[in-house]
Amino acid sequence: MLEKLSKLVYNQTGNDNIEITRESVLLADLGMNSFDLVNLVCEVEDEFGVEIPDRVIGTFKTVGDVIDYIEAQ
Amino acid sequence: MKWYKFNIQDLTAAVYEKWYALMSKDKQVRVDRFHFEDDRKRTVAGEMLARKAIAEWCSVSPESIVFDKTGTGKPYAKGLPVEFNISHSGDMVVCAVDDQPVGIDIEKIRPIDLTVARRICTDEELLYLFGHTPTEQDFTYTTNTEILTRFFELWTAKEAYGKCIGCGVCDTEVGWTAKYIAIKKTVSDYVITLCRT
Repeated sequence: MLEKLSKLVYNQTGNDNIEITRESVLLADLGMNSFDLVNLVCEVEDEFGVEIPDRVIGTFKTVGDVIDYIEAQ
Repeated sequence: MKWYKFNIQDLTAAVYEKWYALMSKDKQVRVDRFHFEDDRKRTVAGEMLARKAIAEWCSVSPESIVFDKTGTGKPYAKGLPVEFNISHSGDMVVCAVDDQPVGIDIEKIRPIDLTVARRICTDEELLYLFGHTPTEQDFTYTTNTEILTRFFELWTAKEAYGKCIGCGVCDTEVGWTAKYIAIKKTVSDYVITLCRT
């Protein structure tokens, strides 16, 4: 799960020379902005076949938050 | 309202250090956490631009400005009658100041997958974006500069509006074309939208 999600994050940041962990903070550590985050959510929905409501997006602070949400679906 | 722009490639090491030193400890920790130099530069350039813009607007020195955050996390300049907002994308950082709430957003025009348009655009906006009622084939990766420019106009308008009224893009249920009071600028490969209440 972490590996797959990391690839999607790399797609957004355009930089894969960084180790992504569950604790990585999407905005603060990885330099994503809100556009990157919404794009990431679209890709996560496609890749994992889950639906992520708009109201949930703002609750994603870390990579682990996204993983937990997917696993709970 | 006034707005300013800055290219982070023009940020020398000495200038970086000067404005980094003026940041709060919390912000410095945030900057230090970034893995990429450009992310650090964008944040420090945002601090510099905000201090310079507010200083000019309020006729105070940039060094005297103290930032704090409201209960909802919105930053403000303590004791000064000014509203400000910062945005960055690619090499560019922008900052807007006004005496009432203001929002600014910038995005570099670049190829993207337009799947995201289905999520954030109203039917009216999709018609504006594609010039026709879209089909499945439209929601795909594109390098079409005209469509991308229109897309980022829509995105930055939504983001600037959301930042102005204090909510995220996905919380705004109204369409841009019907509602937003926006000033659109195109600088080189970037789209910038400013919004005030």
